[in-house]
Amino acid sequence: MPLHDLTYQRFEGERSSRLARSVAMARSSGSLLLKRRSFLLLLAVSWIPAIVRGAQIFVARKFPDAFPFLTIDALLWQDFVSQQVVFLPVLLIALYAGASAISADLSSGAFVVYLSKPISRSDYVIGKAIPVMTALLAVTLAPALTLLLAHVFLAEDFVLFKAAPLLPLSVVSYSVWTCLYFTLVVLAVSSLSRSPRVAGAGFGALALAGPIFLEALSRLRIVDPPAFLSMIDATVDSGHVFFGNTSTGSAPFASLAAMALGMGISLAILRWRLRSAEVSS
Amino acid sequence: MAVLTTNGLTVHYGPHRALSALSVEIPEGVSGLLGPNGAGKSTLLKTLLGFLEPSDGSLDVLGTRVRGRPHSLRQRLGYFPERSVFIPGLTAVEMVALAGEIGGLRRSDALARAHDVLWFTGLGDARYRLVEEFSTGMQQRTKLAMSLVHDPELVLLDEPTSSLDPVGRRQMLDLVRDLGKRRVSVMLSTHLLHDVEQVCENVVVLDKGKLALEGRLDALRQQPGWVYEVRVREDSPGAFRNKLSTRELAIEEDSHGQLRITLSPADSMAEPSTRFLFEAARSVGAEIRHLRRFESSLEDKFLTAVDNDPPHAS
Repeated sequence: MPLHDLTYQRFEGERSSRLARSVAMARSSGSLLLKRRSFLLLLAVSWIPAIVRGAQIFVARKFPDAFPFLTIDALLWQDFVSQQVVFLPVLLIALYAGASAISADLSSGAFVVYLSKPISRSDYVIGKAIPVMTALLAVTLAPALTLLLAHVFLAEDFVLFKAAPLLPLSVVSYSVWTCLYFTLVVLAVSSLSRSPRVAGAGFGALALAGPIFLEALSRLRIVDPPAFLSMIDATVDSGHVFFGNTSTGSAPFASLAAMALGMGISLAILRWRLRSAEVSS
Repeated sequence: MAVLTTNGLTVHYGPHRALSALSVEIPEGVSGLLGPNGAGKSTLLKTLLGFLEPSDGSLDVLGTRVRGRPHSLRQRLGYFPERSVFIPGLTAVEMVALAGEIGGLRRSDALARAHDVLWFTGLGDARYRLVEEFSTGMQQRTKLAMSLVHDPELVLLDEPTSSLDPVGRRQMLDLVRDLGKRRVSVMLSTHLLHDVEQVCENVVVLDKGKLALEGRLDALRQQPGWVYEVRVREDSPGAFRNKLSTRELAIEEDSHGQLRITLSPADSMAEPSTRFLFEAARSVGAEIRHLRRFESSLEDKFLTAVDNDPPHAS
């Protein structure tokens, strides 16, 4: 038993900002994620492509004559971020961190507690998006910047930055754009179900149906399928815009627009679902 | 100061009118919000929190007009939802501290307050246990701690004693009573009349989205006029009542054969003599076995105020 008064006490201290409240939500969700070993394992495995790319940079810089076909240019970073999407780390992390973010709150009733406090629906979405976004950036932006730093230390010249002076900005903007897209889509799907498993299955189906559909069209040779029909292909295709290679790719600007549209639809779904959940809570 | 004032408040759920031109003023203190299912209790709470928008009328809470989603007002409100609430993987102290931070406390303050309110709700020894492992009563007390951690001025409790055993129910009601003493206003939404009678000073009864009854509980309990309950033992049934009927008194008989006799009108302050009742009983060979001033229960008032037609809105 404590020595102090156990009766109800009034509080006279200062109040925090609304952003701090979203950060508190994010910190709580993030710490629960980091307690799961399977999530930490997934994060670690997602860094394997970065290690391979790091070895590629090391070999190309230290033994340029032995491996003349290993070129280090801006395309390496574009390909790296794209491959994190194509080879599923981004999808799996989004699935793991985001599919249950809102659906679990709806099923456990925590949603009502959050929204009965002095925060808005936007604050709630921000609080839920921060851990998902952070986890996604940890497997895209963080390794990409690490590779860039590794190159700076290993390179004996500034040829790369002379050829592509906006490379750091391209890496940051492409990574952030990709992660924001997957974050908003997974949160929107999460809000559509009270079951995290159903939400996860729905997001997985949404993400993987596109490439399968495009592959089917391609094999049937009905039409040359545009990349923007698939979440994954659109993300890869939009990378050309951020790295200034708009002449290549399927239709990079159309892919970019499709992703923007997808984010807009996701926000509309979140707004509609959270409003409905408040009323029916 | 009134904690809640509504003026012609009308709220629709789609085509259904859940609250209809509700005008009521609830003073500070512990107030009960009563009504049958579908009466509009939960709708009123959701409107207070900004979850539902009024289609007509006005709503003032703690002196602030509620429009849209009133964040500054929410800081002054605590909400205890009816359904169970927990975040898997969080201990009681983590969960209450999180509620405190979202409620606007700084991290260190939220943690300190979480410990304090968990001791207050009787969960001090269990505060490092996972909430999902708690019994129903402990989960209810965790919810109370979550609704109190940011120190609200008005706490909205939605069925706080439902699914509790008698001991847990009494503990919860004791906590509510204690809050009232600490100048925290409480609105207790429940269908359990007994709970309201135990802890509330004021009561509002809703029926089909309309105000059916409101007032101070002690005033509502008091029967206007001087009404006495009388039970007699008599050899010839009805003789005592027949004897009294010559005096033009209002006499009712309840289902147990007990008489309710109005001896003088509501505006009479002077207590009337009951001597003639004994004289009347003696004259017909009856014995008065029970005589006391009648005080109507809240249940009587509730049943009178609420008719038994099916509600039109959920």
